[in-house]
Amino acid sequence: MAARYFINGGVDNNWSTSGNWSATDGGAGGETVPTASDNVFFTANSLNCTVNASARVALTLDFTGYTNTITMSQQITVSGSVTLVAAMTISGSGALIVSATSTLTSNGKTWPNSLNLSGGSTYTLADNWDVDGLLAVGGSSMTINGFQITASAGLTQGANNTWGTTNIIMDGTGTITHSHASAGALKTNLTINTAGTITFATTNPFMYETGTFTYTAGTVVTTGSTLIIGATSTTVTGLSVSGITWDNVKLTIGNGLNLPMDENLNLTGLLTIANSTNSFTMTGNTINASGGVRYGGSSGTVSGTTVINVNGTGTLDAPSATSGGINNPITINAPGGTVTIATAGDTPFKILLDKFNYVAGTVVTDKGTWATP
Amino acid sequence: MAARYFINGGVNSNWSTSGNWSATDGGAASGVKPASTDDVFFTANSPNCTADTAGVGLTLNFTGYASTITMNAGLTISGSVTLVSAMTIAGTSGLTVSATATLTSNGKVWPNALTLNGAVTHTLADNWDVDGLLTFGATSTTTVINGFQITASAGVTCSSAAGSTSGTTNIILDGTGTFQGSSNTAQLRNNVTINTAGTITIGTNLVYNTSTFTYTAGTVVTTSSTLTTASSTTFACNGITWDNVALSGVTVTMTFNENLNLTGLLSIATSNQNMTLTGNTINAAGGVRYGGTTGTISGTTVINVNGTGTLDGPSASTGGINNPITINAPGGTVTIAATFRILLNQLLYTAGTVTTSVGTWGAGGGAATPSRKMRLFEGFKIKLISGRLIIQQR
Repeated sequence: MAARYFINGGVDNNWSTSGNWSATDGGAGGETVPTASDNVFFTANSLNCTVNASARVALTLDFTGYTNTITMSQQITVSGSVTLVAAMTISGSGALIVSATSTLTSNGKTWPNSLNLSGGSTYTLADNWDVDGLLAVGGSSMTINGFQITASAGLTQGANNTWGTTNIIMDGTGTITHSHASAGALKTNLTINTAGTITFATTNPFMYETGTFTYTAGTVVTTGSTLIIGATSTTVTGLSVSGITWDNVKLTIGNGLNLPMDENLNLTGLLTIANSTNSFTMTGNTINASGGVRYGGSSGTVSGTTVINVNGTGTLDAPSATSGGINNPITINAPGGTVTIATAGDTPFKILLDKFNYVAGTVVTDKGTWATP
Repeated sequence: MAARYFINGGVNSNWSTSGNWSATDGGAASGVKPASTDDVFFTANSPNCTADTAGVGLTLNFTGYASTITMNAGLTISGSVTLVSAMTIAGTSGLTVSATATLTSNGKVWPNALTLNGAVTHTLADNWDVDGLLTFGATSTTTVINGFQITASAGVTCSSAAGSTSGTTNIILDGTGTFQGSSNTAQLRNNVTINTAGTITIGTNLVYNTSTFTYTAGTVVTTSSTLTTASSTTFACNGITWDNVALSGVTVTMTFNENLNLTGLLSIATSNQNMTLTGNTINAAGGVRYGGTTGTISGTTVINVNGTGTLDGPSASTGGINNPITINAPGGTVTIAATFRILLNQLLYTAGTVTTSVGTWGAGGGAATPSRKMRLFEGFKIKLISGRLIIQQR
């Protein structure tokens, strides 16, 4: 492990030029280009720098005192802490990859490009971060603690869990993507508060667990997407997303856990509740499901105060149910719509009739079509 | 055990007169009246007899008897009984058969009460017609009655509290009387048919299990009664309107060959019983209770709620009713209370006001605005003038 200070080597401004690196601040050049075991410093004595070649690495990256411009023509992979400063200038479009346990300090400087937190590590934010490029997390199982990351160009959640206390705020226009069909979940707090448009990708379901998911403002496009609110040992602490109209939603909460609905949940596609044998509760407010409801569990019981309001044309079924069912209040209020209750041959949709309210809509069951109230 | 032949002792015609009994048919008086270990015979040589005090016998055989026995007191027989058509039976006291027996009527109607009890098997050699009250069983005993039929014209009481009366004999109620159990644990398991020109009143308790309950004809009064069934049973009694009906049993099947109709409470299951209800419809006008905890009720029988009542499951945890349920209660109010679990795809709502913990369906709720058809007539009035229906603007 050595210190590498970027200096004026007299040849060019490139990161890859060994003459541009010194072992001391403002000292003589000629040291080797930083390796993944070197602490890299840009100081008041450092000139403009161009990250000109791929595979640039460092153990840490510290811009304290730097007032010039680093041009990110390529990405940098840092295995430890990163410190930006407000006076520095960042140009180019190369990404910053932080691949190991670290402390991340922005000092109010916006990171304009992609930020990829990729390691199976704990990231500690020393202050808020504003990332104008794509924010990628969850490439490995990780924890991100403290403050917030404002992500202005979208978020990619990887195939591993992303834990931590950091609030990720989507404030621009971009896509929220999950890179795996069934593994990994975002477990930090997540807020959508943008003047732009956030689009949920359709490639894979977006899996969210553990934290508080809040919608404040912005256009959210969910067409063809699926939101999975899951939990294994710890459930989400809050769900306040009534401003979003989801397409498909799956609620697969762990056994004995509670899903608190801080606001209504609205969707146009299929609402799937439960999988496997888990019994859990959903409390508060209403889920307005206009595209059908599926009890996806087998023997678990779903209960609680959250009202499931079927307000459009769709099917209510339970294709895997044995003894399980939904004990929450269920309302069918679908003026002009047709609600079909599990056709013959399907496994039945079991409810507590005392928690059932029929307000409007055509209801078709195996036994006939109901009279309209 | 001895033979006792009723003879003319020359004093009177009483059963209790020792001089009226002989050890041989038409023989000299023995001076010993029958004990419960004696075979009692009335033959062609026997004169009229008056059962003046309670009499007993091991068996009672009227073969060849062409005179009259007057039942002023009851007889208790510990074995077989044989009547003959030529005999005459007067008086009003009953006959009790309390041990294993073969019962032969030879077409003679028994005009008084008949009690068949004991933890034994009674075998009918032919049909019996009983014009008095027919009573089965005794507390904590299992009585079996096999073969042919008993036509009971003055009601039936099952006294097998904590026991049962069973067997292959058909019990036919063809007169006017009460059909009841002595308690809510007195089970009757033989086939039963109500086929009468009279009126059968169902007592407060009637526990019927296992066989087939058939209604053919007659008036049946069920007010304040409860029919309880706790084993696999077949019902074909669409012509009866029951008051309360309680169906239970572990892994049993209730088969409804016809609709079952009731005005009171239909209670289904207790504890963790799984039950199957198959065929036709139960029209429950007074509410439905799932009385179980974890058991599941299933089958094809439609439970049609067609009156004002409550649907509840006060002890339910995970159990419920999977049968088709129809709410078709025009003008009625059906209240759904906790914890009534159903399969929603088996529910058909047709009519009536339905109140649940989260809202009211139908009249008085649900539809907050009148239908489009009704709104057409707002602002108009309708008059019948000279046989014509006139719609006028207000």
